[in-house]
Amino acid sequence: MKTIAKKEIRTYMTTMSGYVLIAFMLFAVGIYFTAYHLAQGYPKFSATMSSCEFMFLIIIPILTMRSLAGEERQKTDQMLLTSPLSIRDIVLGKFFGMLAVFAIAIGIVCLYPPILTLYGTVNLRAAYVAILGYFLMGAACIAIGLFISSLTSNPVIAAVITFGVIFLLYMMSGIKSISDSTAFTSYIAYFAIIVALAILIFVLMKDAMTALIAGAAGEAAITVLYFKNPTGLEGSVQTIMDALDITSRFTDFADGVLDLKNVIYYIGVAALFLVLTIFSVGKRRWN
Amino acid sequence: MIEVKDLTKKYGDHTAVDHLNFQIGKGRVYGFLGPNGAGKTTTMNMMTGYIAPTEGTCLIDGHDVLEEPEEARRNIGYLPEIPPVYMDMTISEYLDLAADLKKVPKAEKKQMAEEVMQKVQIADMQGRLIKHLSKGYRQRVGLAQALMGKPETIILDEPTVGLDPRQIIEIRDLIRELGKEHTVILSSHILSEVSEICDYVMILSHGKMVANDTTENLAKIMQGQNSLELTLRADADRTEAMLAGIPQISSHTIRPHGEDAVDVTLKMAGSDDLREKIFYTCAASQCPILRMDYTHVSLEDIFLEVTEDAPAAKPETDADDAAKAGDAAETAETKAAAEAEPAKAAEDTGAAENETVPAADEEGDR
Repeated sequence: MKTIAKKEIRTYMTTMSGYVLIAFMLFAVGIYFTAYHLAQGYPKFSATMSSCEFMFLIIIPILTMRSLAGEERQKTDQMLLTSPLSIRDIVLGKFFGMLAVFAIAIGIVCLYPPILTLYGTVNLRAAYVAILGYFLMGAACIAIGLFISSLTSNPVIAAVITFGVIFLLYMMSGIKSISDSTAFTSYIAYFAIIVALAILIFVLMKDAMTALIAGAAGEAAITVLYFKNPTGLEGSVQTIMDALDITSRFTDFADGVLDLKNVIYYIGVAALFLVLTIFSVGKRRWN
Repeated sequence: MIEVKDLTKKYGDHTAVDHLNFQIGKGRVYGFLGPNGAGKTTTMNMMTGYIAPTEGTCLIDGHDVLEEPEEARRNIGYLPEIPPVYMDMTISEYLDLAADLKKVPKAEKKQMAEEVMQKVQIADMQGRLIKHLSKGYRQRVGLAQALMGKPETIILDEPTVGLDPRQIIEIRDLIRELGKEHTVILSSHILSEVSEICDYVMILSHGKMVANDTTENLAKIMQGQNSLELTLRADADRTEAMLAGIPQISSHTIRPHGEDAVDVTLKMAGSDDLREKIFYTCAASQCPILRMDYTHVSLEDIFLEVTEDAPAAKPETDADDAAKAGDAAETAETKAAAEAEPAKAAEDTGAAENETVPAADEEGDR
C-alpha cells in the first residue's frame, strides 16, 4: 500500500498535474478568502469553504480520472496486478496517494484562518471544523472518482462520469427540496434507480443477461409494491436522497458543528466505494 | 517449479485456452510457439495472475498465483507484450518502484538496480524519462523491471516484437544469458527465434498444446518422416529388388525419370542415416546414383504440421457453419503467418535458417 501511495504522490508531484490541481484549489480559495475576509472583514472562515464546494466538481474528476483507467490504458496495470501486492493494497495505495495530494492543498488552506486573527477575533475552532469537513467530503468524492475510474479504461470517460455523479450529489439538496413525497414520485425515483443499478451491474459484470434479469426483477418488485402498498413508498425516496445528500453534511461542519455522525458518514462513503473499487478491479481479472 | 493444471480461459463462447497441462522445471529456456491468437498471451497472463482462469490453477513453487499472490508472484518477473512502463518516470525511478513492488529490502535496492541496468545495458541512460526512450530501450527497461527482485522465473511475452534486427540479436543474446541463472519462459510466433533460443518448445494452437518437447527431441520424433530423394540409372523392377534388401526403409515410391532412370522417394523408420548403405547397395549391383538429396525436418515443418491438424479436424465435428468459416479463415491465417515469419526472421537476423536441402548432402551427384 505504501509503495503505491508513494508512487502516486511521486507521479502527481513530478508532473504538472499535482501542482496545477493544488494551485487551482488555492486560487479559488484565495479569491473567496480575499473577497469575504480581507476585503469585507467577514470573520467566519467557513463561508470561504462553503463557497468552494463547487471546486469538487472540477478537481475530483481531474485528480481521479487516470488513477485506474490510465493504468489500464497504458497497460501498466499489468505490472501492478502481477506484483506480489494484493488488489486491496493497490486500491488503498491509490486512494491515499490522491488523498495526500488533496491534503497538501488543504494543509496550505489551514494557514489562512490564523491570518484572519491579525484583524480581529476569529473562531479558529469553527474554521478548522469547516476545513476538516471539506477534507472529509473530498475524501469521499475521491473514493467515488476512484471507483468510477476502475470501471473504464478511458480516463476522459471516467472524468465525465465522475463529474456527472458529483454534480448529481451536489444538486441533491436542491432536488430534494423540489420533489414531493407522494408514492408516485417514489415509484418513479425507484424505477430510475433500478435502471441505473442494472446499468452498473452490466458495466461491472459485462453480462447483459444478468443485468437485464436483475433490472427486470427489480422493476417488477417495485411495481408490485406500488400497486399493493402505495403508502409504504410514501416519502421513502426522501430517505434515499438524504443518504445521497453529501453536501448537507458539510453544511453542519461549516456551521462549526463537529458531529461524529457526519464524520462517520463521509468515512463510510469512502469505505463503501473503496470496497466497490476492490471488487471492480478484481472483477476485471475474470472478464 | 511451475505447475499448470487444466488451465482454461473462456471469453463468452470462445475458448482462448483449452485445458492446458504442463510443468516447468528450473533453469532452462522454454518457448511458447504458436500462430497469432493461439492463446500464448492469455496463458502467460494467467500464469502471472493478471487474469483469472475460467478453470484450472497455476501453482508457482506450490503456491496458487491468485490465492497466495505474495508467495507466488515474488518468484516471477513478467514482461508483457507492451512494456508496462510509466512514461513520466526516469529509468531509475521506475526500477525503484519495481523493487518496492517486489519487496526488495531497502539496503539492496540500489545495488540490484545497478546490476540489472548493467545487464540490460541501460545504465548510462538511468536519468532519462522513459517517454523519451525508443521502443527498443523501453523493451529493455521492461525487461529490467522483470529482473528486479531476482525472480526464479522470468516470463517474457513476445520479447523481440517491434525491434530492429540488431536489437533482436541483442535481446536474444540477453535471454540466452538469463537462461543460465533463471528459468525463462518466452512466447513467440517466430520459429527461428524459438529454435534458436529455447531448450524446450511448447507449441500451442487454438488454445491447445499440440506439441511439447525439447527442441532436439521434436526434430528427432519427426525424423521418422525424414526422407531421401534419389535418382538412379535403373528400371523400376531392379530398383524394387535393391531396396528390398534394406530393412530400414519404411516406404518408398518409384517414378520414371527420363528414359533409363527412376526417381525414388524413401521414407525411413528411425533416425539412422542410410545414405552410405544405399550407396554400397547400389554399387554392389552396379547401379549408378545420379542424385541423392536428404530432406531434413525442421521445426518449421513440425509447426506447420501440428498447427494445421487441429483446425482441420475441428470443422468436421462442428456442426456450426459460422464456426467452420471462422476456423477456415484462421487456418489460412495460420499458414500465411507461418510461411511469412521464417522468411522475415531470416531476414531479421541475417542468418539463413535450416534449409530443407543442405548442400553437403548432394554428394550423390558425383
